Amino acid sequence: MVKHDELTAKDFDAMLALFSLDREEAGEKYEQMRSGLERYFHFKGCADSRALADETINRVAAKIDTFDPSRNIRPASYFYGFASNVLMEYRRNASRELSLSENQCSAGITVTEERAVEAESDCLQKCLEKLSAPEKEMIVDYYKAEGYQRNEMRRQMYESLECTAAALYTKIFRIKATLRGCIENCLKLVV
Amino acid sequence: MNEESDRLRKYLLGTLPEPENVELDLRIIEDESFSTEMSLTESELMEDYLDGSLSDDEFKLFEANFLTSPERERQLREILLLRDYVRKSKNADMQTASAGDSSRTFGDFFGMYFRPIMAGGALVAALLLVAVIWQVYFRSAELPLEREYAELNRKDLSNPASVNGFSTINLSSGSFRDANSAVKQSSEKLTETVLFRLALPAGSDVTTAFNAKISRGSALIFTLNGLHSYQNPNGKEVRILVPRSILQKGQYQIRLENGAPPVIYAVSIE
Repeated sequence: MVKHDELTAKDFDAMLALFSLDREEAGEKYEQMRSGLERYFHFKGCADSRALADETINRVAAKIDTFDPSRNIRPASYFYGFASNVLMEYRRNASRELSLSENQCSAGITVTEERAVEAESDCLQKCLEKLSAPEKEMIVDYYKAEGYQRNEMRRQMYESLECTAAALYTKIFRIKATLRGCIENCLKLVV
Repeated sequence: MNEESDRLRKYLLGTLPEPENVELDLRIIEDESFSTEMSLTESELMEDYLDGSLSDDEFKLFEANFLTSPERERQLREILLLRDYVRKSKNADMQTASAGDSSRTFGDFFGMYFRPIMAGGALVAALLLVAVIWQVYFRSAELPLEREYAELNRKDLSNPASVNGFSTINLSSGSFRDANSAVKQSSEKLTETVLFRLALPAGSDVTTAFNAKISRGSALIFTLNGLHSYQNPNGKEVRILVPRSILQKGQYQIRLENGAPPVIYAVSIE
């Protein structure tokens, strides 16, 4: 992928003006756009969504003088045009890299990888014990449901908590984020 | 599954038509709150993959278009670890509960008929008795059935004569997301030994033997290890013989494992 240089102050200011003439408001909207682009690349299954979002912003800024405000284009649509090009290039490179790696021999699961999984599993156990009792109970109950019973068990769970499936998932998502941080720290001690 | 979540799944698997795709792309960029719904769909897709309940096409798309970043691989591993932990602790709880129930019964018995001074000794004796019963009864009364059927399943089942006369249940690991979509089988038509023919998804690794775990509801009731796969006109399948006695009326799940993502089958005995 052709990487564009860092933003110049002049380009950046011109780009901010796309969002608002008020600099503070423009700054906030710019941050929202940056995280929106990051989400876009994440949900497209890209490896480094932050770098791809930055690359999109750099390209928009580099071409900002071609933007025609009289056409009344939503900033999101304008950024999206650049983002889809970045995505296309990313995918082209990724498939090239994949075909290269497929030509290399695979050694299967190595002993080191097996140990890493064991260590991760041990750390998970320790970290679950560090959660509060209701949090631990909630995540264990959530993953107790497997196969065709899953939907029904989860439905019972969010109904008993008087919330929606998405709200229940948000709670689980937060618990998992806590666990992830704990596991990362735990693994550093193991290594 | 509702229409919206079906649309989001298609988006994540890369099969949504272009105009809708663009609409969702823009929504993701502009609406931060929408990412919760997307993340939930992502997570459910991963669980369906681990459950083996994706269709053949979805399975291929999942690996080609979805599981493409280290972040998603990490998320998948995280779910796998959590499920593994839950399964292990469930098994441990079941064993503790069985031992606990037995010791309480014996404890009550000794408590009623012995003087308090003897209660401690009685409790120790009761626990020893439980341990002996566990060894003698459970090891000799329950496991032999599994051992007997493990023997049967070790035989070559490719010859039709070897499975002739057994009632047969054909299952495939399709998209069953609720009990109603599972294959239904009348218990009255079952012979003493039942043959399950479990169609394997295309591309399954058949070089390693399979283990089958049969659960009724959430309880694991029967395990068979070292199972072979066989050729059928449409592909590969695993054949397993199980005793009718374990198949009461209810919902059953058969989980095939051989190191690759497990394949799940569902059957409802009525």
